[in-house]
Amino acid sequence: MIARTFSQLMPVLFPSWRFFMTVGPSPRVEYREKGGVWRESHPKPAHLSVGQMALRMFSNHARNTQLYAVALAERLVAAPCDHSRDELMRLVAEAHGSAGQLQFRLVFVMREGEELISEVIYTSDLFSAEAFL
Amino acid sequence: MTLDLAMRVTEVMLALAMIQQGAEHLSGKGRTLFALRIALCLWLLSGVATGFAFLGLFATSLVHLHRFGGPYNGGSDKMTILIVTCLMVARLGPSPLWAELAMAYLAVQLVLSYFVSGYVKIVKPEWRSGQALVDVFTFSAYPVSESLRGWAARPRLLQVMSWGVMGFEVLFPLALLHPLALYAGLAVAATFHLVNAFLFGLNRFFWIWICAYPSLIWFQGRLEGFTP
Repeated sequence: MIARTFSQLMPVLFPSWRFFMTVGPSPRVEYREKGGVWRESHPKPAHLSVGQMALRMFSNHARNTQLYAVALAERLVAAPCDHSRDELMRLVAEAHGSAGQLQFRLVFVMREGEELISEVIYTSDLFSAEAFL
Repeated sequence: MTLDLAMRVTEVMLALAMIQQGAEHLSGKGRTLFALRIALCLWLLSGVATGFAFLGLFATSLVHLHRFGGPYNGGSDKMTILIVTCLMVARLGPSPLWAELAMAYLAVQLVLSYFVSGYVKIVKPEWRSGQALVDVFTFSAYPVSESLRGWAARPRLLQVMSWGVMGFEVLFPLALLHPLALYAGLAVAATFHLVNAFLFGLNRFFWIWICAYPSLIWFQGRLEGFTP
């Protein structure tokens, strides 16, 4: 516990600040009910007006949840751990909003030459949404 | 700007930024942690014995890191905790020298946040050609709406934007050479964060980065004091 906290704190107190060094494979979190069709868990709006963007300066929970889901997806693939998986289950269950057997998968979109390709990197087991609601 | 004024302005701005962060979580699970942080921020705003409020905010930051398995909102959480830590040391340190060192460390980290970020881009061919920014708009998770992906079809504009960002970031340390240059540099920097907030939904980065600006304004003046 102490070692973990220490390892989380050190990069904060001595940050690297290497923002956007490369644009790597980008994750999408998709989910489905048992046997159903996959859909994006936190889809973006089709369009936002400048006024809506300005309002989001003050209250932006949905967007920050999306960004957290992206971070969790990247962490789960880079270094699999129960925390990232369980948090993604929670976010998916909350996005679904009702009881049921759910499953999520991580689809990474990346550039290969001139083409964009998608690859499923991780698929979870079925889980009960009730446990997270 | 005096050290005391820089510290006070920073803690007021930080309190407001952290209240904004915490308010986004008050309707969900784990709201107790965020309600506690908001209460500590109100304590900061009161201006009474703020060192102990920072001690509480630092403790809740550790819980926050543990709760989310690391930063919840990437760099903005890192900057938040960095400012909390520096001000905690500045307020509770045993002598005024500690306050100067803590605020100087924050100022240096602010400069590095721009310079390092620019340097790691400018050495990459894909950033110099504008391809990286094309990819950001084409398939990354960052555009705040699907309609913004249309910007990927304007590679010349994105190349100009890439050079604008990289140029500003790597040249930012030169702003320390003169107070007017620093104010201009900080205005450009704040505008950069504002554009990122609008296009990519990174609102917390805007509010928290500007909280560190008073430390740099004080630091620049402190450096000038060394000039013969």
